[in-house]
Amino acid sequence: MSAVISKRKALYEWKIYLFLVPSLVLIGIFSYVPAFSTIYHSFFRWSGGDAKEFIGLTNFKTILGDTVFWNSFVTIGILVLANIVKMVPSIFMAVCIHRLKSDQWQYYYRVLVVLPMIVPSLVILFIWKFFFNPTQGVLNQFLDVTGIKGFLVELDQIFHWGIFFADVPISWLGTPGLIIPSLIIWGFPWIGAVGVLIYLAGLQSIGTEVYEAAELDGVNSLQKFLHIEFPLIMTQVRISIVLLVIGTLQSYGLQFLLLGSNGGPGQKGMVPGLWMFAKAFSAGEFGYACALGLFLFLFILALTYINNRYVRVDK
Amino acid sequence: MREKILNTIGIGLLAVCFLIAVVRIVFIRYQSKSAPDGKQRVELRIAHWQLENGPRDAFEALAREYNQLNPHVNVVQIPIPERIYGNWLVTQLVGGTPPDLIQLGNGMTDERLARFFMPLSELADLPNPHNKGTPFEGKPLRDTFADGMQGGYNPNLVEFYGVPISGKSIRMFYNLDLLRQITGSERLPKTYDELIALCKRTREYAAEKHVRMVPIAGSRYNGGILMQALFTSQTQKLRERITPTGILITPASTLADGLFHNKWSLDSPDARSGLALMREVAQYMQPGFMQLLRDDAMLLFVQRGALMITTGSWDATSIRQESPFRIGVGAIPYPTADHPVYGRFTYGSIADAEGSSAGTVFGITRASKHPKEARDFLQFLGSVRGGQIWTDNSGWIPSVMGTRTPAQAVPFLPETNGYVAGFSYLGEGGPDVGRVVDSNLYSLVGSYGSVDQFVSETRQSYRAAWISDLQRNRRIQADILQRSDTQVASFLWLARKHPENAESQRKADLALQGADASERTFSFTDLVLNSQP
Amino acid sequence: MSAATLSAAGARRKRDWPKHLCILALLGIELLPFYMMMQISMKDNHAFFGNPWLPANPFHWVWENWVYAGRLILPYVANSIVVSVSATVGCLVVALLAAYFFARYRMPGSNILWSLFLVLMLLPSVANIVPLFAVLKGLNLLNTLWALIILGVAGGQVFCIYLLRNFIEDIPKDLFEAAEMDGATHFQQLQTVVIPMSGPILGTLAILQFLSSWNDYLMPLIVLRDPEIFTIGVGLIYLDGEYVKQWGRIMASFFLASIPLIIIFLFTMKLFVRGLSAGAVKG
Repeated sequence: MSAVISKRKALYEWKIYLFLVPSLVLIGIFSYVPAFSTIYHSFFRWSGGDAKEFIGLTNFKTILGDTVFWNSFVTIGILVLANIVKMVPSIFMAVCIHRLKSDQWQYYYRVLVVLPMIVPSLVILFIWKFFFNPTQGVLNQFLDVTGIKGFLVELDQIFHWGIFFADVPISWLGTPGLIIPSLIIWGFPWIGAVGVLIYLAGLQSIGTEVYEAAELDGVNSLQKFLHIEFPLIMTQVRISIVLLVIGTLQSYGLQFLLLGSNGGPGQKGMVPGLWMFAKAFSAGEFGYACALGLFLFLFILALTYINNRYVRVDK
Repeated sequence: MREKILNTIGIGLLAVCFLIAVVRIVFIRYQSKSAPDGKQRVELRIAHWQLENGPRDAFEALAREYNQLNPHVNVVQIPIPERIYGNWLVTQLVGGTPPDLIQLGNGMTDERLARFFMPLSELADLPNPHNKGTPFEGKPLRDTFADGMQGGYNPNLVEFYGVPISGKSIRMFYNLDLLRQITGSERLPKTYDELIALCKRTREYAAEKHVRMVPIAGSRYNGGILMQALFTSQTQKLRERITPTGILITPASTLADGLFHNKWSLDSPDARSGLALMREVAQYMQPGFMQLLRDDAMLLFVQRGALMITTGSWDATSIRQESPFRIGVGAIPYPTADHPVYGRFTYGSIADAEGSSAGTVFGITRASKHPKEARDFLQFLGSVRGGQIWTDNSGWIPSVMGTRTPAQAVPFLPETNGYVAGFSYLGEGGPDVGRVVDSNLYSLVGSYGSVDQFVSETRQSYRAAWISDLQRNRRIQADILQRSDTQVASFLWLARKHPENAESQRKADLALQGADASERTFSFTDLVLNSQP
Repeated sequence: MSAATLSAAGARRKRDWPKHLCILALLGIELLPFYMMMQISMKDNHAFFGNPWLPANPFHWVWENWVYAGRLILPYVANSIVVSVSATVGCLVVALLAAYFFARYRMPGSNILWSLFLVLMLLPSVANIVPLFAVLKGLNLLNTLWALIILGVAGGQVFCIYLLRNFIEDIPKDLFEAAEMDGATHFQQLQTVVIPMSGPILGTLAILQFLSSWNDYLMPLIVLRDPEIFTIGVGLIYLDGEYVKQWGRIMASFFLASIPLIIIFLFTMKLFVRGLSAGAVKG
């Protein structure tokens, strides 16, 4: 805790307030002004310039009837669920690394896990985009070589999806029905460096004695995971889920770069953040975009509140 | 200890890089401000989305040439990827940092044009100073273009806003080496039957030689172009039947009126014949081509995976530079009037529309800090000399008269010998019709599909889509009408105030004509919608 | 050590290899993009389509790809370094000052001021981008690197101050008092007491800030217009817009864009891994 200070001393030490000024100015201009500007402009028809017209609640009424926006919540819901499932490999990886006996190897693997983090995220994004390329991409070549493609084509003939054909490259990002699956496959095998490190940190508190004792009792790996390891990283997993849900709800960069600002064919990849972005920077409806942003903010705030109230995590 | 040393080296490296980078950026910023001849250096920026091979080299050459004429002006191009162009445009315009010259079209609306761009009507009437010593000396700028500069005219705003610097046309591209291997000659198909025969021959050839090859490289983009072109050949007579006055362009509302009163539908023999043509030609592209993108088709062709590809003149330079084989270029082979099946509905080959085919239009932003230089550079682009540099370096067809078309661009010059096109299968209706047709198209071109299946699946929603598109048009036209009313009023007021100024009188007349036209358009759309059974 | 534990340990060591296998398999797939990037960067399109998976014969390596990539990407890398280093250093300096204010004394009003910062943790960044654009426009910062630097400094404040405050509060009070006795000003106390003690946490924060600034692309895409001040992100997005894709060149550019950090990483690997692990716990 910071030291309590007497009134007189505080007066004498007034200069210390100056320490806070740069920080306050920065968050004032770049956090508070935009935040209030969002609220203010959501009541206006505003195309980003000086001219604006007060239109009351019209923007919010439009949101209620905005099917694209509501559909985008379905999409993001699916992606959130998928992202939660996609945590599994990271947990698995962390447990594997942790169970290694050699500290040396643990360290090497940590380095290798961290490696993708230092490559610009866009590079990884674009390489994946290239993997998905129908004619030259690695994914289609892999499916061809392994014969999975033939299997998919047969499934298609049974179910009449009209998506997979023999001799036709699969257009992952060009077919409405494949866009959400593509976004889910994205980044396979879904090892998140930060996730692995978080879980490893949680696992660190398990002493070797615990393992040895467990081993003497003839406990198998799965039981070890369920009874020793998982309870210990439960907190980390819950924190990760919370961060992940909030993070996913806000994300749209991936969809923007892969599918363009209209969310790809059939707008199947449209997510709320992207719709807001598109409304502002493609349609030029900045006022409406602010209203969408405000709505998103309230939605995330409500989720945070529910989380703090009911799924309180003890750090 | 070792770690500390390594850390220090790492951070030291970063610090050195940082210093170099800072010096570099400061130097660049300083350099762009000072000019060699002591004059204030002017940097003109010109943004475009022509990332095909050619145009970027052409702008480079134009900038160099212009810099020779005006040493204090540096022209810098900003090539923007097509897919982010719309966002980029809005961001720059609204942010107040747009470049001086911007390519118009992608993401542009009348409102943005009026708000952020300078009207160039005055410029269009002035002679082009860069045309000194040419036959066009003293002629108004607009009269030095093949299309009368119509590509830069906005009829709704009754002003010129841009200068079109190149022409465009749709062609069929052939891999000549392959063609010779397959047919033994390099004769390009002239008619639709010859095209289909060539496709069949290619199929056989691929089967004989066990090579993976399709006759035509397709994609949503390239396949769409070809199918659309063929469809329009079948609606030539239909279009005439439902367009009473015999004008060349049939507005959407007239087509809609015809549809509503059962003068035509997707079931009409003409339309069905067009659909059958589409299906027939689609069978010679990769199955499922509607899922592929423009680059995919292009790559297939360049990699010898296809004998032909349909695309625009704008792709010619890319194709020529990327292909390791010789290229043949020909017009799209249409069915002839004496064709036993398709001849009934067509007059014959379709001519390239003259005038409307100009593209690559550039306008000047109001936020430009150097409007004088920007205007001059635009005039330079539109001069015989500028046009020549453009067409020589880009390989695109010129829009400026008096320029010599380079040999490789000659096949793309507008073909005026032919008939007027019908309307397309997407209908000139609008986005909703487009979406309905597009989303059912797989049942027309897919291996399991047929014309019947497509028509029966589309019939239901087709009419509703026309209605909703028409309603949207009516809304837009009402907006335009409202705006033109204010414009007419202000021009009339100006004309009355300065009766001696011929320019304001002319503008008032134009505005009145424009308003009249908008009024007619609007009331006709309204009438069609109201009289719809 | 009893025989039982010995054999248990022995068994454990023996059974380590399936774990190694699992880890290596996962890492193998995870790092596949980098392998593809490296090997394709040495091929032209023709070689790539003929042999997509294996590296090309070193005698046929297409160095021209690298020349092209160097000319294209290095200026962007330089700009990115300017932005990321400045933003990181600026952010830490400003945050350190503010954290010192909160940690040293409980000044009048400091609770209210603290909550001003805490509230921002709830503010999702997604809603901000539109009005932020208007703010930058008002400050005449559009199309400058300054905009990115300042946003980087401002954006990291809440997180950094939060962590630094906790850290500074844990520094023994006697140290400050001793310094005060010697007549040190607050600024000097910050220099002599706080900074030497908080090396690890500063390292962690620096790495996190640097990475977030280095990886940003949406803001630069909106802010920057002139190609000569593009940062890596924008540069790569523009590269992705080409119609005719020369994959070798593109991959060489990707590789080149990754190299600066990889070099620095090689030297400061331990700092990185430790910093990120610590950041992972705190975050």
